[in-house]
Amino acid sequence: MTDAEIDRRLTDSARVTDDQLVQANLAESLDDLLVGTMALDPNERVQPQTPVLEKKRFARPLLAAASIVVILLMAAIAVETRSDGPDSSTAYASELIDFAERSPKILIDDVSWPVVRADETEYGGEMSFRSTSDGADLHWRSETLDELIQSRLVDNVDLGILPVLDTSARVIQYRSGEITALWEHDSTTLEFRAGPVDVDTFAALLRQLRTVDTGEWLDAMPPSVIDRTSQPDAIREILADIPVPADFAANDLDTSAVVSDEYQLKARVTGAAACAWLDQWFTATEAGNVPAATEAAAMLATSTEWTALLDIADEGRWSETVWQWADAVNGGPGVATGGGPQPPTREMSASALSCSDQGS
Amino acid sequence: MRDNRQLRRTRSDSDRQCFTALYHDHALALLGYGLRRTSNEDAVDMVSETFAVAWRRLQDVPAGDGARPWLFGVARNVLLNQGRSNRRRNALTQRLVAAVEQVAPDETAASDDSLLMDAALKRLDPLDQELLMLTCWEGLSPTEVAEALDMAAGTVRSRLHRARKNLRRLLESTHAAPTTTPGERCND
Repeated sequence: MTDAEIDRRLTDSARVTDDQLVQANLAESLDDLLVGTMALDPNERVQPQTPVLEKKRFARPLLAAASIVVILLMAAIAVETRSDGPDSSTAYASELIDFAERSPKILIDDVSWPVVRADETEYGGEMSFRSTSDGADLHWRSETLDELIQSRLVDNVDLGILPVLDTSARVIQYRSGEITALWEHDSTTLEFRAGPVDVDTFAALLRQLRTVDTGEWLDAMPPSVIDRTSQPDAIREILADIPVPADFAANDLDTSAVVSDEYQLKARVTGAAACAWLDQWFTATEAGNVPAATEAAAMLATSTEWTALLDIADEGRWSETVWQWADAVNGGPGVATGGGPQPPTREMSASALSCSDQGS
Repeated sequence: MRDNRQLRRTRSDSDRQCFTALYHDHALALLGYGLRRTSNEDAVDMVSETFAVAWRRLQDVPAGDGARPWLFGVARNVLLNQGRSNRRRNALTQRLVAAVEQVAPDETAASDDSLLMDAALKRLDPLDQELLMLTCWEGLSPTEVAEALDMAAGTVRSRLHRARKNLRRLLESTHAAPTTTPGERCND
């Protein structure tokens, strides 16, 4: 699926289009609101419109820093641990050591450019660095260097060769102003991309790249990477106050390969629990099993008190969606769609809550 | 001693013309922004509150192309801060809510593919959701998104790249196949 297809599908998913609004007869009521607004006293105190989300996001590193201490201590004490030479001051779980050994251990030699994420992908892996105002990504890829250079040169500008680490990189500028450098490192094709940026700044950034040992590389990883080994514990914690059916398979919820964000993990786990109860509700309703359907509806009704959903309620629309389904099976108006509220169906739950992904 | 009366803002005819033009240029786009994210009532409240902020802070509204991202930035913050308990409904917003109720919902938005997209979007990081929606739904360029969200344009581009990749991963991990034809990328 190309970026263009993603964008097309996203554009098509909008509930209301601007064209519909243009065609609707809104002019008179909009003009009324304009007149009413200009009747306001311009000296009335304006409430500062501070973004709630950003406040919470800035607060996260403190929580994350606290959790990383706990996780690293657990990794050092309770999990199989390995150290990586005399420079490594922290012991990491074996899964993390393995991840590091599969990755190019390259950092930007500047504390103002920390690593903010690292992931393995279907084509290799990638890590992102972020300064206060700019971002850069390092990708490791399965394509050969020649293949990648040829694909990047299409429609873009060849800037020639620049030094990087102990070799040289082919440097290409995108029309957007972003610049990318491509080179081979330990038989792996690497791509370092930043911008929009001028060539001198990019060259300076390339010169700041350096290879490090496994310990130093892991020390530089953000909590989203380190936390992966603690997912089973995190999932148990999320499920602590969530009722689940007797046959619910919590062990199948380990999503280390695809989830690294706290919001997504909580969404996936709460979604699995909601889907399990919805599955019971649909099955029982279809079979005329009133006690089982009643139990499922009652358990879904408790979702308004699930700590994980309350935690993420202000950060996105997931919690609201689960609660809407809980309402729908408890006599509520139905599930909101672009065509208005509809009675809940298995097919809709598969789409709205990804229930087919949750094993129910 | 300074006369506090000098600090009081007044609105000249020129200010009123300027504000009217600003409103006509952007009110519908802001209403669409709200309707695509929240209920009709909250969307109308947001439009009302956003232009009330613009009216009181007219001197802070950037001239020309800068007005659009500024208004979207205010609108987003209004939505984020919108408490259901302190809605300030009045006859004017109620009338607009009633008019908006007549807007026929987009039938394509009820399709399985759209529901799938909605579910995948909700599982993204909230900021990534917003970046994608501002780009594809509101048609803002990365530079305008950066101004609206008070971020660096380079950061917006790199996060957009990552957001599309994560969205693709979520969509491809679901059972349904895409039902749309290839198109142009949104605004970057």
